[in-house]
Amino acid sequence: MSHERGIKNRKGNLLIESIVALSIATIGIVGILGLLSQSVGLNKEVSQKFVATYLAAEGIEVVKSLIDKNVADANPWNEGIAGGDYELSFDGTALVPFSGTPLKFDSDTGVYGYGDGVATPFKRKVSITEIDLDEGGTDELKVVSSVTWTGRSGEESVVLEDHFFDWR
Amino acid sequence: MFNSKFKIQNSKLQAGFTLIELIVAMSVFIIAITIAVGGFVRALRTQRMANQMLSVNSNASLAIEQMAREIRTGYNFGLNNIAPGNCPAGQKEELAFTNSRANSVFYRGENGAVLRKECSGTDCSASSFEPLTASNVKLEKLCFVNTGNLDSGKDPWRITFFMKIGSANPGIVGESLDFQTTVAARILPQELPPTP
Repeated sequence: MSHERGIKNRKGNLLIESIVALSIATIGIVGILGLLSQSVGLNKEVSQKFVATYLAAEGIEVVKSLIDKNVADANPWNEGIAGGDYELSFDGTALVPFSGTPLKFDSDTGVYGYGDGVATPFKRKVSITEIDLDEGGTDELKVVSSVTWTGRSGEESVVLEDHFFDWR
Repeated sequence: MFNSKFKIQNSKLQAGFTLIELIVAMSVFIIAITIAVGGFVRALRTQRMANQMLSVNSNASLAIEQMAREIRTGYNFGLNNIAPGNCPAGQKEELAFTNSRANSVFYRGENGAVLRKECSGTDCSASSFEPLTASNVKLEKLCFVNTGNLDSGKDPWRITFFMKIGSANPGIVGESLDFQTTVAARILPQELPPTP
């Protein structure tokens, strides 16, 4: 009597057990797949960071180029380069006050700038601080180039800093 | 007691029951395996795609870093058109300059790779273009402009390059990346070292 009930119960248990086992296995596999798609998303994030890094470096180099042009023209080294926040395009010849405009990308020419093209998520701000070490005029420029954008996990940024001196 | 148990099973339902059980078990097994294999194949493909993207990133940054560093310390920059002219108006396909070791250096994008040639001094007879990027990434575009040095060759050189790079594997669905960076050469035209 009791054995017959035991067999019956065990059969029911087999079904429940297999359902439980299958669902655990499914949850595990779904987890692994989710992890992989997460890794692709993170890789895209990394790619954006790479692009942003080189765009930020561009901001610093353009300031250096403007300083060098002053030297080449035998002007004061920091002429036209006052403290403040600016946006600079790769071919800029003067500082333009920062207005929060995102960089545009022109897919025909492959150029990131402020001219033609579609707005990218990147905003580039070049902040210049004048430093006076010996109270005899500006002899150091602190240049911070930051590129910010909205990524998967909120606001992202790349910030690069460089210092230029009245020295050749 | 045990005898009576086996007897019940044997005498009543065993033949029909095991057939149904077999069919059910096999179909459950097949469904489970199909799902598992499908997931596994997708996981492999995703993994390969992630690897490719990583490879594109590292190749691009390596090439950009090397070019930027050599341009920064170089001088006498020139831009050349290379047939069939893959760059848009105003941009050039090849950058030629003298590097810090006073050797002529050429950079261009061709056959899906960033190519570099360094000559011994100005003698390029023994040099050929070598790729800087691996064969599993495909350079789609590399173009240069010089937006400095415009005022009768007196102003500093300011080289900007535009690079579009993606995966060389056509089966991998990934977007290619557009890089742009600018480098100001640290040597001014007026400070050029004397030509030997």
